[in-house]
Amino acid sequence: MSMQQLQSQQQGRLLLNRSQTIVEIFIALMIFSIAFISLIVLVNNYIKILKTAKDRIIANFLAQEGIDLVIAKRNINKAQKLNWLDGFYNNFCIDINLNIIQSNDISNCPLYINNNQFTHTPSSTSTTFSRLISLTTSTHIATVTSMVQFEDQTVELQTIITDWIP
Amino acid sequence: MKKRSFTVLEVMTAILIFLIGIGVIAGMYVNLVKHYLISQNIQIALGNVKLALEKIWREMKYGINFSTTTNGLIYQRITDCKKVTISYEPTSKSILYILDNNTSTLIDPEYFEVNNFSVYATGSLANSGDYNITSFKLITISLGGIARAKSIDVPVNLQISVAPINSVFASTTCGF
Repeated sequence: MSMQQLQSQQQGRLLLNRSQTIVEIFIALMIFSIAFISLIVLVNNYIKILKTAKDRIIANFLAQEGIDLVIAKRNINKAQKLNWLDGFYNNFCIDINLNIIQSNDISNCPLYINNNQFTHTPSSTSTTFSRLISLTTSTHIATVTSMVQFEDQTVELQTIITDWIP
Repeated sequence: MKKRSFTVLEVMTAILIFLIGIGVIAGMYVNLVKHYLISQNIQIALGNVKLALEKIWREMKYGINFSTTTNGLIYQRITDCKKVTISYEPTSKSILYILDNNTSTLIDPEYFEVNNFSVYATGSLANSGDYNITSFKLITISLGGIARAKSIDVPVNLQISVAPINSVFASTTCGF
């Protein structure tokens, strides 16, 4: 092996053993950061969804309750031989005391906690939930829509009630 | 150009910076996983309560002969006319489901600790009429408790109201 060949071989080895440039390190760090931040964002979003799920469960029960309150009021009207829609409006708030308040805006129907119960009676314990009931009536049938709003979300349930007892 | 190797001090400093970085990232990751597991536990706890309340709601919807007790309520199932007692146990902070004499835990305090339980019934008519006068027209169950997830407790208030279908029937298959 000539002296020239040995020198060029050594230069090649030096090229292979060269350290990373600042750009390469920067790119590697960037890829690593993107991957890690994505992971954090993903898990964070999942946690947020789980937190919302709690409120959604409560909202679903409250919406179902709204429908049952209307059915109970209709049943009492029938039992007392009143008009089956006596006391109802097109849009209203109703709670477990079966007190009906006319309202067209759901923000006027916030729910509070009174003695561990969700009612519309104002108390020191407010909730994020509001509930509005809408009634679309025809001769012997009415469509009941129960809408519960919390934060920026809405749960809506609908059923049909009749003038006769099913 | 003379190529010099790293000094021990340089290597030590590099390793220290690396370890601090790894420590911070690992800490963040562990925290993240911890929160994720807590959220999942809360979800399981709430899922159990949801199932329990839906079961009560369904049975009460078609139930008959309701009456309230100090810590709960009693009704009859329309499917087999068996007596069901829903009872709150303040000592164990659980909700019991008693079918005839068989007791089972409806809401397990290991997942969801019930601190408040109330039953509100209305619409029972005192005057005789065409409809079943013994049944309530509306029954509301409210419960407040804590969904348990390791070190984090999440307070939750839930409420179901039922307008029983048979509350307006004059008679049923169970003889009421």
